[in-house]
Amino acid sequence: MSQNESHAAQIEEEEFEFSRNYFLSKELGSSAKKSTRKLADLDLVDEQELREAAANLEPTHEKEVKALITSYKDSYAEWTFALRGGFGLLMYGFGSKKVLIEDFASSLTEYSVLVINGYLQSVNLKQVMITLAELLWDQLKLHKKTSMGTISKSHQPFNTQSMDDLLVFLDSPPVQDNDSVVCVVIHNIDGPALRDSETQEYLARIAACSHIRIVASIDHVNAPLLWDKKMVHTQFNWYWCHVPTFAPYKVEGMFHPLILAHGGSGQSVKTASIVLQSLTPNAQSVFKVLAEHQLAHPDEEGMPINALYTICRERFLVSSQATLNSHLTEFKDHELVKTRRDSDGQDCLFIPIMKDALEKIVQEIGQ
Amino acid sequence: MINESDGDDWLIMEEKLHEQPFFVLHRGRRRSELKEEDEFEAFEMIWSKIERSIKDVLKEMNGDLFDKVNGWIRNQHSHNQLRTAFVFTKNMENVDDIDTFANLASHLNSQGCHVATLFSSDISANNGVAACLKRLFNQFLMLDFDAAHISILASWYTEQGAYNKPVVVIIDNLERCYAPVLSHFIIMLSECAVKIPLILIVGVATTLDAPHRILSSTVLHSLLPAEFYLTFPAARMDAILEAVLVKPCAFFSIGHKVASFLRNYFVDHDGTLTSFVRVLKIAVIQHITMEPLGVVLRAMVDVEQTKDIGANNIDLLETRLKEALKSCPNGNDMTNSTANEWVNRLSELHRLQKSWSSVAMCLYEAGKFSGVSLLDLYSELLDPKTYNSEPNETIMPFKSSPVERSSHQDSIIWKSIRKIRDLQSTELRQLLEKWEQYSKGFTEMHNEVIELKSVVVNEGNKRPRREAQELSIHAVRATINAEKERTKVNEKAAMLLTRMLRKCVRPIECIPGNETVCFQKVDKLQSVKYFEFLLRRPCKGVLSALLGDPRRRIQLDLLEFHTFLKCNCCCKNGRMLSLSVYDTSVMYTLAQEHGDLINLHECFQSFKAAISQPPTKPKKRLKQLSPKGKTDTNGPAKADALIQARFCRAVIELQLVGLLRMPSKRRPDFVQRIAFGL
Repeated sequence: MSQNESHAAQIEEEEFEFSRNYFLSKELGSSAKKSTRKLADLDLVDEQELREAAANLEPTHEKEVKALITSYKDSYAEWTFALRGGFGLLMYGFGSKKVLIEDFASSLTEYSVLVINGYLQSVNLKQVMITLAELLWDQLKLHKKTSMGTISKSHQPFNTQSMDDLLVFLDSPPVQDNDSVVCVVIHNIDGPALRDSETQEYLARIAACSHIRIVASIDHVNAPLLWDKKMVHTQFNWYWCHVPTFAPYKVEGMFHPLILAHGGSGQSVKTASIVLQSLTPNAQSVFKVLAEHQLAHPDEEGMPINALYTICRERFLVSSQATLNSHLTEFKDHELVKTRRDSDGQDCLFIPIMKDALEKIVQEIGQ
Repeated sequence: MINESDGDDWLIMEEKLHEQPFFVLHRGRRRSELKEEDEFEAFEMIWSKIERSIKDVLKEMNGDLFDKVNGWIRNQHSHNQLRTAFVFTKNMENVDDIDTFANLASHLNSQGCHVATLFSSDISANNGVAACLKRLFNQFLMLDFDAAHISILASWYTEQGAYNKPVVVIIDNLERCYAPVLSHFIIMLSECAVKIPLILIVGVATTLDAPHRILSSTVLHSLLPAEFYLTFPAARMDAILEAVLVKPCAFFSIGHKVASFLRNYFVDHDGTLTSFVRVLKIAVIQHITMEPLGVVLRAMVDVEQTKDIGANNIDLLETRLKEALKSCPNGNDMTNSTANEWVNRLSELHRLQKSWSSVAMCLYEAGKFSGVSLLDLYSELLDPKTYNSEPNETIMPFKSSPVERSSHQDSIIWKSIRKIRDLQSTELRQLLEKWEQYSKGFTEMHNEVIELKSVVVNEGNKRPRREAQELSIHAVRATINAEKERTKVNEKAAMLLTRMLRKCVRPIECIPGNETVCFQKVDKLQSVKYFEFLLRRPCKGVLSALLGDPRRRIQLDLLEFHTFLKCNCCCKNGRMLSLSVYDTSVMYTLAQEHGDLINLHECFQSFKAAISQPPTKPKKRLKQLSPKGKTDTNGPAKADALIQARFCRAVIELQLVGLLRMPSKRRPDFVQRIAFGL
């Protein structure tokens, strides 16, 4: 078969596959909608037991996973080379890459290394940049001692500087060769804490700084959509490394609800009631007010804070807004209560627990 | 560091650190002498040479335009309109133009202008016009104003005192700016232009009418526009290719497959020089890290740089090569004769490369008349197939008869040569002049070119002058004769080039010892998962190849997990489910059978069935590999919990990689499948 023919055949095949996938998604989708089997019909084990089992899941293929990760050691030299050559390393492939990347990063002894856990819910980028600036400052000082380079003795403390100033500092012309470099390891640069475009733009600007090198990982299949060409080619300057590890996503997945625990909707009844029982009776009653409101108004986004305050005051549960706030902080810390905006833009409190479970909890508090 | 001896707890991370948003892993220490230091120095030397060549080429290409812009700034004046230069970049991808505008800014700066550059990202709906002013003042006044008025610019200019210095504001990409903010900003500038010599330069990526589409007529009326044009990206690409790879600038070259990659990627997909340069850099890095004799390149570059001093090049090259070979890994074990052999090979390679590049450029000059691009020609010239297929005839497409080789009709090499036969004498003369230039230092060809050129010049002189032409039979005959003569000369030129091609153009991969200077390991590129996709499917999804293509790769990882884990317990065909198969792979495979909605109940049942099905082979495996719950005495409850936990974990992992979406409130019993097809 000539090249053209095989090429045409390939295109045809791809088109067929595409249409097949399209109909699969549509037709099976509609038939699946007809399927009415409920999750609740399953004989599910007790939630506590499920959590325990999930926490103690034995990793499968442990030996092979370890061997696989160890096999990437052969690439360390090449990665270091690319990093020194001005590229940013982007690790992708199935499996947690946390151990691998930190192991690689610890081999970069001449760089200071800062690790960002992007899989967490929030990361304060300003704090990160301040720390980066401090690390770089220390390193420049170290080199100043050993070389004739000069850096100004006094400087404005980094925590009072703006992001732009910090970027200017990180991007200052190298004092001597490329000796003073801080490496930023970003686990899950596509994670919840870093996903928004503003953060990505800042990260790209950080990555483009002369004293910074980046080693990052992505897990989401659509992660590259976070970046435009300018970011990819000129700022991050990615050197893609395909490193599937098949290691379990232990820490990365810790904020994800278990799908078989209450339909996957967050807080478990048991943990909620355990927490509630440890609180003062007044705090419990405040929670009860909120819970009863939620059960009575299932369609509302939640209960406005001032409405809660009024009722609690009427029932002599709290004496001031401050007391109520301290209860609320306690609830929020244990993820018993969350806030969201209703359609009027007002902050509302709600309990992220399913109706049945909440009824059970209210009963338990009453006892 | 991971050590084999660490035991099984190496996966357990320090408890607290993974819950902190960020932490310092370690502080940098003074660099110890790395064993890769030589290699890195070699890389730096080679890459800086390539980078410099690229910069020079672009500088030369843009220099003309920069001078024109500067001249325009100096020569025209307007007192009531804002003088605006629209620079048409002819390139939708403004990545390449970031540098162009930065260079323009520094050029104008060096010519005595005040210059500030604004990026399209500065002119956005979020930031508003205040942000534009802030950036402007930041660059001109070096001050940070939060609330400022454009009039500050005029007063600042007056304070400067130098009234002949134009003030230039560059905006890199018109189309990407938020039009209302841009319009507002331009109106402000035009008001200011009455007081100071303010000039606006705007990059336009799309069509000539873009300014009319984007800016309102009021704004356009306040402008006094001028138009400038950058060269096409393809032309810039050819110029870079010529400077970096065809004329071996750092002796680094690439093999046919790599060249085809670059070509396909540039032509069909990305189209940016930036990514071309990036790929080239990656190739250099990999060549140096993989090829034990890669550092030898450095010696060659070194010698090349000293050639102007007048040293005897070949001797120097040999000496330096010997030194370099000794410094290579195992170099000390190299016997003198082996070293000599290598040196000979490399010197020969060096010589062949030079003649190769002369002939390639001559061919390109001929091809230019039929619109051949160097990029296409280059990858065809490197193809060892054309060389190997007919060892006796050397390269078949060089045969003169087009009928004999109809399959080579498309060959660019052949097309270029054929074109020589059709050239007019002025064109031929131009071509020969170029050939004369390119064949310098390649005596064999050079002499023949000069000879041919003299024939063409004589023919030109002999030809009857058109204005004196009479419609006599003699004149017609003279024209016919001249035509015949011309065809003869053309034929000679074509034959000369064909001969040179046969003699000198051996694809570098067919020359012994090439691996030292030639990067051709596409396999290696594949193993960093850079180009695999491109190779297999030259026309689809190449963008994702350069972008690493996680969408496809991660799904393939799940389907072919056994090729990575190489475990004995799982069946060879990853698509078949077996007891001990990787849970998430099972889940992914199951999801493939569903539409966009997956009923959790059904899915769980299938998952359970899949992971608890009796093993097809020895029963031992069950004990060994199924999690302990199965054999535990605590009974079925525990086993159930375990299966459910495994199911949950698999769902979480698929959710993490973006292949499943959690149930919505409306459909709590369904998860949503996201990716369809690889």
